This record gives sequence, C-alpha cells and structure tokens, in this order.
Amino acid sequence: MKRYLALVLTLVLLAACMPLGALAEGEVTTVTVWHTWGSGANLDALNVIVDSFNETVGKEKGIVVDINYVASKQSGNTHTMEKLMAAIAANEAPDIALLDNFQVASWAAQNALMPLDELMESVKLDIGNMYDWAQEGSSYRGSTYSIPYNGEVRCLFVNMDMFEDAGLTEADIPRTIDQLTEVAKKLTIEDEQGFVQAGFIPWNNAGKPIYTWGWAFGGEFYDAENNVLTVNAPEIIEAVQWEYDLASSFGLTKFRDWASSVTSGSGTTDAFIAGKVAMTVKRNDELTDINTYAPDMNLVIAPIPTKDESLTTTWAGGWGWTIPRGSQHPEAAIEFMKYTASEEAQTLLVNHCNKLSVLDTVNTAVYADNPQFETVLEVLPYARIRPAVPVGQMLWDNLNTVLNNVLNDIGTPESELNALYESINDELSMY
Amino acid sequence: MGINKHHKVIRWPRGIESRKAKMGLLFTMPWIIGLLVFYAYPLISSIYYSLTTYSVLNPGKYIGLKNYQRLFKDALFWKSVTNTLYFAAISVPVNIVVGIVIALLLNFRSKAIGIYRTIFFIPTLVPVIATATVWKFLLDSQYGLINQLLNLLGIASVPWLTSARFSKISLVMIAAWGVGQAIIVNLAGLQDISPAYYEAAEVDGANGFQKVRHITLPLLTPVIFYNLVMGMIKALQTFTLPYSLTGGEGTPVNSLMFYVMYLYSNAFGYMKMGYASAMAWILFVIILVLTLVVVRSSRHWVQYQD
Repeated sequence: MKRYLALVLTLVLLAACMPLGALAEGEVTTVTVWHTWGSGANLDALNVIVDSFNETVGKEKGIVVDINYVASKQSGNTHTMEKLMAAIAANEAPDIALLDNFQVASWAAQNALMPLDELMESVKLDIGNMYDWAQEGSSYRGSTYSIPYNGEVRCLFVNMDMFEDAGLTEADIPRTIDQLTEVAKKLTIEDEQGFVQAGFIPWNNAGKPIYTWGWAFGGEFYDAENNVLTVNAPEIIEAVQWEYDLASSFGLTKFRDWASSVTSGSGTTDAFIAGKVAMTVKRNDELTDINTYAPDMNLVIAPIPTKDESLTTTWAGGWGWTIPRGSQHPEAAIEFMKYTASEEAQTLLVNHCNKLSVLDTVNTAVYADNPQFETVLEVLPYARIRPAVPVGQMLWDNLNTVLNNVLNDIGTPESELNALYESINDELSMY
Repeated sequence: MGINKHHKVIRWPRGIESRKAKMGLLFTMPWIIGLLVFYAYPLISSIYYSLTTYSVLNPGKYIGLKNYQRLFKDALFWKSVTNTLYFAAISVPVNIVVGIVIALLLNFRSKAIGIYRTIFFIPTLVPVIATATVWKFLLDSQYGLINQLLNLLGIASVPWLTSARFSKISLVMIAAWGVGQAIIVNLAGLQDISPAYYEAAEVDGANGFQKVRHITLPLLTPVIFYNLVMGMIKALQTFTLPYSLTGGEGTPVNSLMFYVMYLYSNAFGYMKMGYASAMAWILFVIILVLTLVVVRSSRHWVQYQD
C-alpha cells in the first residue's frame, strides 16, 4: 500500500514539475482583467463582451481574456480596488484593471498605471470619437491612462401619478431651481403623524453629491489652469444653502430625520420607487430598478433644473480600462481595450445593461426609439465629470460630510466649504 | 540555515538538557520566524512609514513628524477619536453588566440549561457582516421590525441608524447582542468560586442578593478584569460592524466614523499609508495607556481566591 502511495506521489510531483507550456496547444496569451462587479447587469454585459472578443479578435490573435471579480473598499457608491494596490506593489498586477474613471488620476499620480499613448498608437486606437466627458477622465497631466468603457448621466425623474394627484401636469415639471422649489412645496404632504410624502429631497439618490447642485447653480469645482479645487465658489455655497433652505422650509430637524429614513432604502424601498417622493435626481442606469419594481409608474425623465434656465447640466460617471504597472501582457491587453471601444462591443454593452456607451453613434442608434432615453440623449453632450485630480476620493467623501454638517447645523455652507477649500487644496498641493 | 549560523555563534551546553533546548528551538523556529517576518518586521517598519508619504504603491518621501502634525489638525481624526472613546465608554460597561447578569441567570441548575447557554452563545458564532445585515433590516426606520413593534405599542418610530442621536446607542445594542463570549468566561469564573463560601454565608443567614454582592461579585473580579481589558481593546478597534452598517461611510454625520474605519479610508481609499501608519501608532499608545491605567487600578479592586 505504502509503495503504491509513494509511486503515485512521485508521479504527481513529476507532473507538477512539467512546464505548463508543454500542455497548451499553440501560443495563447491570457489577459487577466480585474473588475469590481460581483453580480448584476454590468457583469452580464461584461461577460458578453469578453465572450465575443474571445471568439473573434481573441481567437484570431491568440488572446484569451479572463475576467476576475475582486472585492473593493466601499464608501457609499464609490469603490476602490484595494487589492490592486497590494498586487502592483508585489509585482503581481493583473494585465487590466477596470477602474471608476474619477479615480484614474489618483492611481496615475501614484505612478501605478502605464501611460497608454504609445500602445494606443501601435494598434491605431483613437478615443477622439468618444464623448468629451469620457476623454477628460482618461487623461492626467497630458498622458492617457484609461480607455473609457461606459458611463451614465443624471436626470430629474418625475412620478407623474403623484403630479396628477396634486393637480399638476407635465407643463409643471420644473426647468429652473425656483420652479423646483415651488413644485416641491406643492407636492409635500404632512399629517399629524408626520410627512406622508415629499415633493423633492435635494440630497436623495444622485442628488446627494454636491456636484449635482453646484453645477446646476453654474459653479465650477476645479480651476485646472491653477490646479485649485474651487469648492467654495459662490455658486456652490449658494447651491448648498438652497438645499438647507428648502429643508428648513418644512422644519429642518423633522424633514431631515424623515428624509434620512426614507432615503436609506434601495430596490423596492427606494424613496422614489416606494412613492415617498415625487421627483428625484437619478442615474439613467437606475431605470432598471424602476422598470423592475415599479413598472406601472407614469414616469417622465427631464433635465436637472438649473438656476439659469438657459443652462443644461448633468454629470457623468463611468468606468475605464487601465493597464497597471507590472502588467505582463500590455500588447495583448490593448487589443482587448481596443475591441471594447469598437461600435460592435459598445452596442453589446448597451444592449445588456442600462449604462451608456461612450460613443454617441451607438447611443443614438440603440436608444433613438426609447422614450425613456430621450432626455438622457439630449443632456449627454453637456455632461461634466468630477475633477480628474489625485484627491478625487477624498474630495467626494468630504463633500458628503459638508452636506451632512450643514443639514445638521454643525456649520454653514460658507464655513464648511471654506474649511474644505483649505484642507483639500493643502492635500492636492502634495502631489 | 539560520540554525547552523546559531550553532557557530552560540556555544550550547552539552548534555540532554542542551539537546532538548536545541530541539525545542528547532521546532518553534517556524513560529519564531513567522512572528519576526509577519509581525515584528511590519510593526517596526510601520514606525518608519508613519514618518513618510508612503502609499504602498510608492515608497514616498521622509517628512519627519508631519503626518502626526497634520493628524492633530484633522477634524475627522478628532471626530473618530471621540466617536470611538464614546462608544467604548458605553459599550464596555454595558457588555460587562449584561454579561454578568446573564451568566448569573445561566448558572442556575436546570434541565434545559444547556439549551439556554447555547442560545446565548449562538450570536457570537454569526459572522459580523451577517449580524450587521440582519440588524440593518431590524432597525430600518421605515420598514424595520423593531419600529413596527414600537408602533404597535403606540410609540413613534425611532430613527435608529439614520439619526446621529441614536446611531451610537444602536451600535451599543448590536454589540451587546454578541456578548456570548463574555458570558462563557463569566460562567467559568462562577463555577470556579468555591461552594464553601456560599455555605458559610447561608449559615450566617445571608439572602441571595447578599451572596451575589459579597461573594460572587468580589470573587468574579479577576474575570471582570479580563473582560474589561479585552473588551476595551476590542471596542477601540471596532471596525467591521459600523463599516458594514454604513457602507463604509460612517453616516449619519460621521457619527459612526470609527477610528480604525478612518485609518482604513486613509490607507486604502486615499492611498495615504504613511498617514494611516501614524494613526495606528497613536491608537497603540492610547490602548497602551488605557490598559496600563486599568492594570494599575486592578490592585485596588480585583480580588483573588486564597
């Protein structure tokens, strides 16, 4: 018995020592891709695109793309791929990492990503046909660090059933901040028990980031020429003050506490889907949830109201492919990235999830007949992106803190944003 | 190889004792090496990193005590310090009291005592993430079971996790749910108390309360002391529960932003491992000082049998 065991073990050892290449048929390069989508439509779309690549271009060029989910550090809606940090430091980096585009600058500033310009030239990949917002997020200090993959924009979602109950029509959908305030008050209902419904909670859903209202008031968050984050611009202070004033008009503490209890939900308990608010700012990909959980809602999607009626504003988030420092197969990686930027792959993307393509031609072709996307397509060219600075995540977290502090009377919009101006520019100056 | 080196340098005494010592060293070597490489080295290097702009991705520059200076000016750092101390100051005594009361109840002789003990121990076997998820549902302001029950009793809904007034109390409650570990230690302590004391007290006509007050509690102080030190360290390092309850944000109004959460944000969210290392050493000093204070004070209140 023992002798047999020894024989088997020896054979296993011998097999383990054999070079792997000897088993493989032909030369195939495996490109490992790390992403942070554990499940859902984003992952489904990604799988379809990867399969399609592996069967077409991949087969032709001997490249197999292998996607891997990695857990990430979460902060509300943002994710940081912390495992990538350790992997790069240990020289075990994947060939491609799919990163949230507003963090690309942070990674690039740490010298953690490869500049892509030369690789792009070698495979004739040009991202000049993509939206401006997609391109802007890809570059840091003059070099390109990511190939934009997808995006999404924010719009005002209106529950027309609630409008009609209050005797309002589509003509009453607000275009300006003043109109929004007025309609919000009309739609807010309170009884002895407390609030029954609100017309509008400015910081609900995608209205939470101060970016949404800062831009709607005509503010600018970043002065690229002088590398200063202008978070205390008068328009931004005015925007936060407006959020505070609107809440105060209903009784600050009462409204805030009720709002935080209804806005903490998601899925069926999302405040808008549950019919607790008549209007909210949402991302276009949140349509999936509405169509799933509230398919009968009489929904109208309108541009985000602005201070000045002539201004159209929205902002885009999105993801981009990057090649981490230490990638073993950058040449094969860029082939896959080029494929994802093609009309073919981008069409697969929008057909399998509610994200947007980074190509205008694809969005127009796919969504032209979809009434839910009419406004989305209209505002898309005007989309802004969060400043591409190395302190993007810290700025995001701190802007949320400013809003919370203001709503809890810990500070005024002016004092909070002035303090943030000092601290965040101090951080930025270290890069 | 390391052992051979030692052979040359250190002259071992001969004989059986020395052979035993050598063998002992040989067999503990994997642990000693592991401890040095995976504990001592990172620990000591983090002192150096706390003086740099290290980001994991880059070695960074040496900046002296700048990280420490910046920390003392960082409002969120102070917020996280107060949050953590506040939580520890409430949660640790609550857990000790709850732990003792339940242990006393579970110390009675009853047929089903094994079942009761198991029931109280089960929550500690649940992973913290699962605990957080379940409690998030239970404490939901709108749809939570606890508020529904309160409403049935005619009490208005409480914004448990959505208002800064209640968030830390909610966390103390959830933490108290996992008190099973302390209960087991307390039970062991209770069983250790010699029945002779109780018999003597009965002869003297002591009632149940007097027995607990004058025999059980004093003789349980070594166990309370242990639970106090361990509970304090655990509370000061609280991370998983508030992190998973708030999706990493420490909401509302940073009232659940705990020290280690902010440390983690700096290290992995903002890529400031040097800054985070400085935070870790400050926490180490805080824990060291508090533990020393408790250990010093223990002379006055901890009583050992015999």
